[in-house]
Amino acid sequence: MQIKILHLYYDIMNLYGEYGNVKILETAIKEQGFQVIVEKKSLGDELSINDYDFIYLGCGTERNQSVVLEDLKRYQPDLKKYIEESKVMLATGNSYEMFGKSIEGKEALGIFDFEVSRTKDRVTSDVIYKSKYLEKEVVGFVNKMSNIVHNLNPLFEVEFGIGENEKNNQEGVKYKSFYGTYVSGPILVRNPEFLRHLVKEICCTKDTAFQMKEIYHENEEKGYELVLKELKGRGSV
Amino acid sequence: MKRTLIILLAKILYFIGKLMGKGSSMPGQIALKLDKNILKKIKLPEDIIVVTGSNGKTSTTELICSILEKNGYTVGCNREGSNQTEGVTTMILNSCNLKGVVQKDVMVIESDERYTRHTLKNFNAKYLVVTNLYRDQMTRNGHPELIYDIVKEAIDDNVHLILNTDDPLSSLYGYKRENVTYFGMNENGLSTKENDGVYNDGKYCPNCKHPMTYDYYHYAHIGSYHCEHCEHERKNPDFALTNVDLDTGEIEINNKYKIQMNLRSIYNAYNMLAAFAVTSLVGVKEEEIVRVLTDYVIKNDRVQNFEINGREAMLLTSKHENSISYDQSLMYVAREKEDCTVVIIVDAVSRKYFTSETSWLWDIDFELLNTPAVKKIVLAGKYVHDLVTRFDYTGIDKNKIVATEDLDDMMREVKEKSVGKVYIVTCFSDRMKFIDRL
Repeated sequence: MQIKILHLYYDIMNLYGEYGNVKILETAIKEQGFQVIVEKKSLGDELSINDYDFIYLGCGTERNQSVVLEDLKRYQPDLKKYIEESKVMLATGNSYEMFGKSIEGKEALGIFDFEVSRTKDRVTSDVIYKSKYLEKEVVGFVNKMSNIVHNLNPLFEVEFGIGENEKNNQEGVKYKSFYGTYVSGPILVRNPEFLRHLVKEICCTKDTAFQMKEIYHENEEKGYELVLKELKGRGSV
Repeated sequence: MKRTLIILLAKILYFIGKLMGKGSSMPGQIALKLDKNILKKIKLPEDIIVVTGSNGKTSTTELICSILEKNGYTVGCNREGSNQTEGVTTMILNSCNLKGVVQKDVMVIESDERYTRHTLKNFNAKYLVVTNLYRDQMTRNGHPELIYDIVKEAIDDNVHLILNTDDPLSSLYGYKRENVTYFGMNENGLSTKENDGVYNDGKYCPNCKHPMTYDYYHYAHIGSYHCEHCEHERKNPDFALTNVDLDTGEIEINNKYKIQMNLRSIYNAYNMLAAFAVTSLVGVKEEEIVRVLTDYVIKNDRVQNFEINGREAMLLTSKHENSISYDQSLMYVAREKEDCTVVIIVDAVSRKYFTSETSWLWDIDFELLNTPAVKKIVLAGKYVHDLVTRFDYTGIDKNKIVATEDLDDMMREVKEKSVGKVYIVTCFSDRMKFIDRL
C-alpha cells in the first residue's frame, strides 16, 4: 500500500530544519510496511490536495507567511474538505495561523474561528505541553510574535513556557486529524510519542485493519527524556 | 562637572573590574544609569567605524584595528569586551580624558546586531560595515529578517554603508541608496552552480519575495543572485576578491593585490576583504593594508592547532545555533585528503542563557562529512542523542560513528581509537571541555 506525503512550501516555510519531520515520518511509515512517496511543492506549483494522505507545513518569517497565505488561498475549499474528511495534516510554527479567520485583521483561510494579532515583541521559549491525545508531554521551542484568541479546539495545555496568548493556558489546534502548534522545528524527531501517534493515524486512514508495529528509536527516546528533564529542572513545572 | 565625575567613576570601575577579572559591561551600565545621554557629551573622533552582522564581526574588527594601528593611527576599540551598548560605553569612557575628549584617530566598534540601533542613538558612525545576516541564535534573535529590520533602525542617510554584495539580505540595505561601498567575491574555482545545502535562504528575494536566480553560489545562499521582479541584485563589488585559492591560501583583491592567508578559509577571505575595504576608505595606502594582512594570524583564536599523542589536531570553533558557522567548519574538514577523525560536541547549547533547543542541528549540512578521508566521527556531549539522530539521516556509514555522552570517554576514543589528524568542531560554550581533557 502507498502513502503520499505532501511537504507544502518546503523551501519558504522552513526556518528550523522542519524537513526533519518529513524525513522521520517517511522512515517510520516505511517501517510499517508502506511504500512512501514524498512530494515537495511550493509557491505557484500545481497540485491536488486530495491526492495526499498527509500534508505538512512548517514555520516561516512573517513576510514569508503573508506571501504563502495568498498562494494557499487557491486551495481553501480543498483544504477545508481534506480536514473535514479527517485526513491528517500537521502545521507547525506560524503556518497554522493561516487556517484561522484572520491575521492582524487580514483575511486568512477561515477554516477555524481563531484570530491572530501581532505582538510588539518577539517571544521565544522552550516549552513543555500536555495533550489529552498523548500520554507523555511534548517538548520543544516556540518563537513567535503573535497572540491567538477565540480558539475553540486547543491541542495542548501549557505546562512550561508560553501558550497561544498571555491570558489562557492553551496552545495549538486539534480538529479531527488537523494538528497545529507553534512548536517549531523537527517536533516529531524530538517527540517520539507524537510521531507514533501521527504514524498510526496516517496509516489507519489508508488501511482500516492497520496494526502498528512498535516504533522505538533509542536515540530519539533518550533525546526526548533529556530535554524533558532539563526543562523540568528549570523549576517552573 | 557631572560628566567628569561619571567618566572618572567609569574609569575607576573599569580598573577595579580589570583587577578582579570581571567583564566590561558594568562600568558602562552604571554610567548610563547616572546619565543616559553621557555618550552624547563625549567628543569622539570623526572616523567611527561600526562593524555588525551575524558572523565575522570579531575577526573583521580585529583586522581593521591591526591595519590602522600598524599604519600609525591611534585606535579606540571594544575588542576586549561586550559588544552591546553598555560595553561600548565602557570602552568610550575609558578611552576619553576627563574633559570628555577621546584622543584617538579612529574608533572601531564591534556591535551586536540587536543593539546597534541603541548604540548608534548616542553618536553618528561614519562607516557601518555589515558582514552578513543569516540564521543565528534563533532562540534569541527570532529570525534573520527580524534582525534585518532591527539593524535598519540604526541606519540613517548619512552613514556610509559597507556591505557584502554576495549576501542578498544584508546587501538590501543598499537597495536604491547612495553612499554605499560593496565588497564581494567574484566567481572562482570554489563557486558552484547549485546550492547543495540543507536549506536555501536565497531562493526568494528578501525584498519582494519573488523567486531569485543565481549565477553561482559560494556557500549557502551567498553568491551572485538577481531578482527580475524588483531588480534587487548582486552589485559589482568596489572591493572584489578576484581570486581565491584555498590550496595555496592565496587571495587576490581587485586584480592587483595578492595576500597569503594564514587561515585558508572562505570566511577568513571575506573578513580580510571587509577590513581591506573600510581601511582603504579611511585612507590607508592599499599596499600597506596588504602588508599587514599577509600571513596575519587572527588573535581571537577561533582556530587552534595542537597535538594529541603526537598527532595533529585542529579545533574549529563554530557557533551552536548557527548552521552556516558549522557548515564553514565542515567545509574546511571536507577538503582534507588524508585520513582524519572528526569530533563534534554539543554539551551546552549556550553559555549565556538556557535552552534545550536543538532544531538547528537539522539546518547543518553534516552530509559534508561523507567523504572517504573522514574515517571516524566521534559525537559527544549531553545532546549526543540528538546528534546521532541527525546523523542517521546523513547517509554516512554508521560504522564510522561513535557516540558518547561522557566527555572522558570521548577523549579516550579520540586518543586511543582514532586515526589521522583530529578535527574538533564545537562551540565556545563547549570547546574548553575538550581542551581541558587534553
